[in-house]
Amino acid sequence: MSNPAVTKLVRDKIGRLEFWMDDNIGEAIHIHLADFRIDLTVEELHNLAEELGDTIDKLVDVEGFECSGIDPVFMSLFLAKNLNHLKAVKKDTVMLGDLLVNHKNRMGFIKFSKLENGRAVKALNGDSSENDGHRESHHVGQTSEQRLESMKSSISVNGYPFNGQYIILYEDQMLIRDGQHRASCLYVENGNIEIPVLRLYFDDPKIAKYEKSYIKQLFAKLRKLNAKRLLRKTKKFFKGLINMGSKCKRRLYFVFKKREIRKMEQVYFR
Amino acid sequence: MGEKIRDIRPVNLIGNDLMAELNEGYTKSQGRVIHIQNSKFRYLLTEKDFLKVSSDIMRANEELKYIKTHLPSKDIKIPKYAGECTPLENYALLAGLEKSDVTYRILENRDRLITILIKPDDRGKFKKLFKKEGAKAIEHPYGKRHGFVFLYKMHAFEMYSKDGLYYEIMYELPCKSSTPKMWMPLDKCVQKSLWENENRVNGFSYVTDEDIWIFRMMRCLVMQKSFTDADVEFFTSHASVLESSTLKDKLNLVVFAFSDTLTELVRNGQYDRLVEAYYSYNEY
Repeated sequence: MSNPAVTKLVRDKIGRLEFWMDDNIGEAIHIHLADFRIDLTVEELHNLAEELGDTIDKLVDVEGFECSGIDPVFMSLFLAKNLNHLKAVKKDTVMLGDLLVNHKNRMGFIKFSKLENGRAVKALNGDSSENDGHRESHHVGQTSEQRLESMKSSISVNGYPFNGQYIILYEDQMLIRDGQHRASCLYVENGNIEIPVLRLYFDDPKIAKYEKSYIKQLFAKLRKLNAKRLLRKTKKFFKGLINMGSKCKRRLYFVFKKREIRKMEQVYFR
Repeated sequence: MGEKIRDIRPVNLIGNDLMAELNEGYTKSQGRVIHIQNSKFRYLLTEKDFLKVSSDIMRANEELKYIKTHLPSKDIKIPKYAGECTPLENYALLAGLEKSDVTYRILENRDRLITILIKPDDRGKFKKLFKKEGAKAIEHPYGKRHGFVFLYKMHAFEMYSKDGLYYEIMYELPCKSSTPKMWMPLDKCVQKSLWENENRVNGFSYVTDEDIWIFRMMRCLVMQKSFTDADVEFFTSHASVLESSTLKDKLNLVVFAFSDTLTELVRNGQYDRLVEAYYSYNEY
């Protein structure tokens, strides 16, 4: 049995094991942990997610922390791995203009800027060149443009905060950890106003630390390079070289057969 | 067993009552661990991994809600499967195929392009025949060189040309996967039926109405994500297929629990609702 309508919902690594979940329309929701699989109905997944949210609340046991107040995408991608270090949660108010945002540039370094110069504000003002392609925390199949549009309409309909979900900052910093789109929409719509935010405090200072200098970022990356990682990167490099060979071969094929292919595609696609 | 700290909460997993229990780890470096257990089963995760898995499941739930309310976009260039057809007599290679002992089925005929299915066992004989007849191979628009992947050992599509006519060759009745750039064969029961049954018209072998019905339905749902006028005309004129006793068995292995809703909507001619109904379907 093979289902053509399979959508990967989430992918992660738990210890050394691959973990992923997919929706198989009409069939089941699959939870995979390496070669082990559990099949759930849609209803069972909804119930399980609800129970696990409550379990996390009870496990974390920090006053003011509620799973429902955190965007599940942010939680899964960034917060969950540090949640056992959470020691306090505080509601605060900040001026939008004081907030910082970050994004990865083409070289893989993290660039920090004021919210007003951030990619999302630029995109809302018509320049989407930096915003396009940043899909790390988007929903499945969602484009950067769709994400921004849906956030804009959600804020105009539901206001901010919606569903008790605040923009998240770590410690006493001004860097937005979750909610860049919300903050950008609010900034473009209302200018530099005061908004409520949620601050998370951890017992490990490394969690909230961030490095602005590219050189320090590079050294931090180099420090992370252990033998295994180096081997993986070398393998990837050589694999890339081999792939480049077959890519060139493919390109040459299309160059030499250009006329025939164009003729055929005219008939095929009409 | 383990150094129990406290019960966190009971959790129900596919009908089984389990307890999430917080324990001290075996070693200091392990930190605290969570046991998901009942009297017959136990799964141990570190606290960090438990938080990751739980948040991943919560995220998956959120993503599911999102995809059920947002139609996926088209991910490939789609031909127009309508218009004039070149008469079959003009396809010289088809006559050769008919005379040979290669088992084939005609899937579709369009203007200067015919789609033929070849029985996988006869692939060698077919290749020899087309080579002998002077057919020129050319990369298929959905071929491997364009980055398409063919799942479950499916044979890649082939394209041949001769005398300005094109022959699109497939070895299995295909279906576009909803994952970009992936093709897969329709279920084995459809492939089996394809070679066990045939529709002989004017001396040529065609795919039967029932199998082409399934193929076109999946093309509309997964690849085109819409129904063209030609598709609606096809399904309307092939309404009798819905009465076939084997259609439901096949659909149950292709669209699974959605098969009843699918046939119901087709029966009522609600083609404009079908695609949305498929992607938002959640009764499973």
